[in-house]
Amino acid sequence: MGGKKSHIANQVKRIRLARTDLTQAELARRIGATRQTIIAIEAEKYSPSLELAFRLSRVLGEPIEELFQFSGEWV
Amino acid sequence: MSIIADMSEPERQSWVTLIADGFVFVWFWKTMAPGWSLIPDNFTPSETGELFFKLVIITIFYHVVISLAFEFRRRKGGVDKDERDLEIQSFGTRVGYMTLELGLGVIIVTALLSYVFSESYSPPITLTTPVQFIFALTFLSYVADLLRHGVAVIRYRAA
Repeated sequence: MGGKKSHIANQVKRIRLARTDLTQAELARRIGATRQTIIAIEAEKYSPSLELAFRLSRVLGEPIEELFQFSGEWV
Repeated sequence: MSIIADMSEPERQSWVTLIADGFVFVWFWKTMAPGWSLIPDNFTPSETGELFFKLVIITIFYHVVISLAFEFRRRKGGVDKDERDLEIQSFGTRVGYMTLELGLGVIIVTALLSYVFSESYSPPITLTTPVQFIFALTFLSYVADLLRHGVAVIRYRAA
């Protein structure tokens, strides 16, 4: 099993701004993370754990596959 | 928003510890081996004891002060630390640990060379006296700690 460059894209910022009135700080508080982690996730510099991803999904009211997409190659 | 205001509490703590470690490390290095040399001066046992007593007291003191300061700043009901902080800090700890292991290997090899081939070969750095050993081990532990926090703050900015 081997891997190539992988990348997890996300729509967190788009969905947060379009469908909620949550600020980054409020979203962070509701999912039990820091605001800096939300900033890093929205900038796609940090991929959250599965648990945090599920919490985001629940708070934003979107299925997890709407929020995160695996766009890398995998061999 | 300034860079400092934009930092999480663990990132700020890493920066403060890095800076404090750096100052104490420079003081220790300049005191034991003036001129940024890697070979310590010939200290007497009492001078060595006094210097290390100061070093231990200072190190304990500032680590306690920094920890308490950040503990008091902790927000009630807020989240100051999460999985990203833990991931970054554990990466820094791994780098620090690997540095410590590698450095210990170098110290052991240098000590062996200094001891086994002392008559036919003189390496640039010798480890034969207790002061040299104490200096090398303390130097290494500070370098490992600086790398631990240094790597963490770089990773905080990158991710």
